[in-house]
Amino acid sequence: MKMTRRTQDRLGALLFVVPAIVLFLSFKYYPLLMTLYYSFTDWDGFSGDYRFVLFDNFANLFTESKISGAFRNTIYFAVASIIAGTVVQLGLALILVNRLKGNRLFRTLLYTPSVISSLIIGLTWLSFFQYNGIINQTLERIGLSSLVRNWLADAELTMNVLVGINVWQWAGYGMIIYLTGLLGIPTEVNEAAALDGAVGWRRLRSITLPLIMPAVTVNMFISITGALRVFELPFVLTGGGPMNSTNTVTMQIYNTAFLSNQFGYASSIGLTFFLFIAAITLIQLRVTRRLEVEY
Amino acid sequence: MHPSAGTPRTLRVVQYAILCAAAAMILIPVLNIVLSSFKTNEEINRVFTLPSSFNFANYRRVFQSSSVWMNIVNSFLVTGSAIAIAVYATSMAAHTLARRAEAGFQVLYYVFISASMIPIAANLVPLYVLINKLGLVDTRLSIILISAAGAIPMGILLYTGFIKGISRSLEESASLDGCGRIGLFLRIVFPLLRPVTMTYIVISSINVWNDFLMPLLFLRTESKKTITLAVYSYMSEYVNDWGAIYALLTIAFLIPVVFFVLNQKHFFGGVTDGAVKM
Repeated sequence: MKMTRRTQDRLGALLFVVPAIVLFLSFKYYPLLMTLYYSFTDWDGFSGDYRFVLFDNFANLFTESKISGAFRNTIYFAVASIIAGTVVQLGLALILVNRLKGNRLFRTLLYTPSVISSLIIGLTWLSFFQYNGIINQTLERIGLSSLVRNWLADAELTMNVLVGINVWQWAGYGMIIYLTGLLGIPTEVNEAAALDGAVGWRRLRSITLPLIMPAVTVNMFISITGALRVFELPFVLTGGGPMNSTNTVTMQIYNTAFLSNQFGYASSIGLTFFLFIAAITLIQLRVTRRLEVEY
Repeated sequence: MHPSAGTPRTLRVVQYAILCAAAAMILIPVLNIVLSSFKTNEEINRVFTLPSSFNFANYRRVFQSSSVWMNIVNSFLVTGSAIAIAVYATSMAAHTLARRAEAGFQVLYYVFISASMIPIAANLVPLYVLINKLGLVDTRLSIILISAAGAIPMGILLYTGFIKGISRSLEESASLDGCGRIGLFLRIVFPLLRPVTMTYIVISSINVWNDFLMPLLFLRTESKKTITLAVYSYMSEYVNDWGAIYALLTIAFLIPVVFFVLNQKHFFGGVTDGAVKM
């Protein structure tokens, strides 16, 4: 059989894509398909046989309070991180856009924590937040012992400590994205705004923010997908405690699979988690894209 | 010039104050680890004092009681190999995806990009089963393959966007000269991709280097662990030797920070590229 030139050409092009496809199917989409498959079974991960339990796993995960709690904690972590993070990142970017002296140094310094593993970052802060750690010792010293808290073992407070560390780590990263957006605003727009007397909050809301919406879109996407996957910080600082108050979805999947040996059940949580993240990010991209304006 | 350059002096003082406070917030925890790494275990409990002398006893203890050197080598090996595979696979694939108009290739582009929405946690169980079946448990190769696959969406995104922005004329004339498809790519296209290749290498290396969950799942032998996992293991084993733990943390901090400072341009450029192309 003789191939036409066209088919030959197309096959050649396809060959270029093959390595990426093979790698991708093996380690991304094939596992995702298997997650779907296992999620309908009661497999324990070790015995050779398992039963199909259909939707039992899903019915259980929506009623088991530890798991719905993990989803709640994760959502809280993401929402709080994004709100506090946006304020900090945008605030810093609005300062740095003025090109103050030394702004390069500040940029470098503020960005640095985002290149370190969250695990290392968590350990770095451990000595601050432990009960006899640096923060409580400082409070005692300056006579504010009434503010001494059990930072890492207080069901009301600990998740906020993790949020704080997360915001600290990513402040410079988001700041750079916003800064890029701000520097992209044409000078004429800013001059016109100044002439019209648009200043302060009003100018930020009605001129600056709409114009940097593309930066907001990207930043939100990165922050949401990042924050929802949180694992290292609670893993190393709290182990999910106290009273599961910092137990996140990724930790829950890890524990269900490898501590409780419930591979089927863990897969059903994983699948739910994937659908949840996909839905959230698609909604977010739609919403922030719609707010983008042309100039 | 930005109009607020003419801001009143008080405003500028406030702005500097905020920046300095932010800088202090970054520096204090980092300084704490570095200084503590030179303290004796007895001095560490007195947090407000400086180390009595710059002694390297903690560092010596870490190097004796762990395989740090090996762990650092492993991190370089895993990161280097994963990124090399990812650069090879995504630059070639993106060239086809950017240049071909067929619907199939367009769909493929979205298949690659949308995978960034699949959290690794969703695939935890099947990945474990797969790596087990392949006999790759406790091998660095397992981390290399998974990390390379994980780096693909960003590579496709960056490369496809970049290639669409460069003119075809060079490729067309080279192809008239009888340059084969692969020769054309290697000799003409790939060199043109240098800027985006640098950005991609720099940004995805940090992601692979910093990964913790996959090494935690698959690497068991101390001498095969990456540095991030090794820090965690060390800390679980020598719970009370904080001096040594701080020394190890300092080492783990130093490598990515140096890498970042040397490649700042690509880091900041990469953030901008991603922002434009999404």
